[in-house]
Amino acid sequence: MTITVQIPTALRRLTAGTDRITCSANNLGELFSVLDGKFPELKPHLRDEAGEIRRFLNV
Amino acid sequence: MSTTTGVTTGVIPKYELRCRECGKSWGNQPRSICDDCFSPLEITYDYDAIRTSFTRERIAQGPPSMWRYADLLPLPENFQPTVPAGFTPLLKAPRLAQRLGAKNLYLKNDAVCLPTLSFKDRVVAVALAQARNFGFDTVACSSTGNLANAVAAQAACNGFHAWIFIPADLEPAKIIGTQVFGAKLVRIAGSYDQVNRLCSQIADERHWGFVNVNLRPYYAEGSKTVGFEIAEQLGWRLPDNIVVPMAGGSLITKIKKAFDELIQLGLVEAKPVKFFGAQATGCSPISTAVKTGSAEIEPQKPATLARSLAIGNPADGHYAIKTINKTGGWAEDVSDPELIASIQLLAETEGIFTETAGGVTVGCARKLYRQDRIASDDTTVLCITGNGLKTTDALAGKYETEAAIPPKIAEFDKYLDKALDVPQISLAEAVEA
Repeated sequence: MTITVQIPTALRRLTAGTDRITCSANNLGELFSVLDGKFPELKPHLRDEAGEIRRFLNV
Repeated sequence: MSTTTGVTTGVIPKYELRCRECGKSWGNQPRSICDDCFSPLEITYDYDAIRTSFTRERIAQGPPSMWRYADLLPLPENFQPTVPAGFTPLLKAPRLAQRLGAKNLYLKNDAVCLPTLSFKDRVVAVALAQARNFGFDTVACSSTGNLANAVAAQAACNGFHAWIFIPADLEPAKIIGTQVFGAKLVRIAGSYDQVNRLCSQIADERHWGFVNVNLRPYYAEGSKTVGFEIAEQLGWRLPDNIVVPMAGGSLITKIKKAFDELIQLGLVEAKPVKFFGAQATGCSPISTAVKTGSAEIEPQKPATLARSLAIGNPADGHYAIKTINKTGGWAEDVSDPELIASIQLLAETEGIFTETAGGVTVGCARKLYRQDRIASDDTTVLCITGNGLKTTDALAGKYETEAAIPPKIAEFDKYLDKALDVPQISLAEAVEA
């Protein structure tokens, strides 16, 4: 499934200014893995130390 | 030392934003989320600096409004209030108490809060003070109604442009009560949660002060004044229990913060206060979590007449659960027929016409007394947060339209004879039965 992800302004410092990407994922887990790979600096903001999606992320 | 987005300023402000989870300081700016961990930001104060000025005597000399507690609100230097919000009555409620099996019951009546008859006037007053400070000329909000009214009115008298985003199915009185102030009203074909999500995206794109998005930490502090007032109006003591309606879950946490601050600053004696949360069963993510022992919110799709509480994914739900559990309280919820009967019960016993959220609070309190979670002798305060004149459609069909009679005394006598033939039972009693 093709998904467009919009990056909020505050997080673009972690995506080298990228404001949206189109990628392919079948579920949220896959989507997060794609984002982890594409934007390594973003990863610790999305996942906690145990690799779980952070509590206050609205999914 | 304080930092603003990591930059050390060397100046200790009276208040500043701090992440509720990781503790990072964010100075003062229009922002509600910590970029590091996405947790909500909270205002923290330099209590030592405030201690000398925030005294019972100084407060008593202040205006009869929420501004008497200005020292514990995040207000800009030299702020001049424009609306006399807050300092609403705390009423003893003996007749309602009798019906609930209570002996020491009080109502905090924000149905008469100025200028728009709900507790939202308090939070908006603080948010707009900061909106001006941060240089916004346009303010905005996502709203289930009361906030829309409050933002629109206070934007008008403070010279802001206002954009208000609401779910399309809102009560007509709340729509008119927003448009009349000249605000731009955007009806969204979706739930409040969808409206809120959209507003987060708009706030990211435009330089607007969204009171409950980028100004949310400042806005939420206004709710503390409900707690300050209850303590002062009880003679500078805390109640044993408090019952608070929950939508986003912020109010209950802020009343707790207010009580804690009063204890910390020595204005009241420390004592345990149980916090009870009230929701409508048709939108009860917080009460469901409390009842099932979960620390997290499972979002719901709202289906209730209590539209002002219809938030399926409450922003402060996690903290509301914590407040309730930590204080030994509980959460309850009531059906739509129960909340309507409770609106009628409050009106018939205490002469207060509250909106659907107030019906939820009274209905849940009744359950809590019946479950012995609230002891009858305890000092208990119910928070009535909005006015019934805004949600009259909730009572549609509950009262018969009387046929007109000719203006003759004989006709009235006939009418009276007929009326007295009918057993006199109130509608609230009928529903209870």
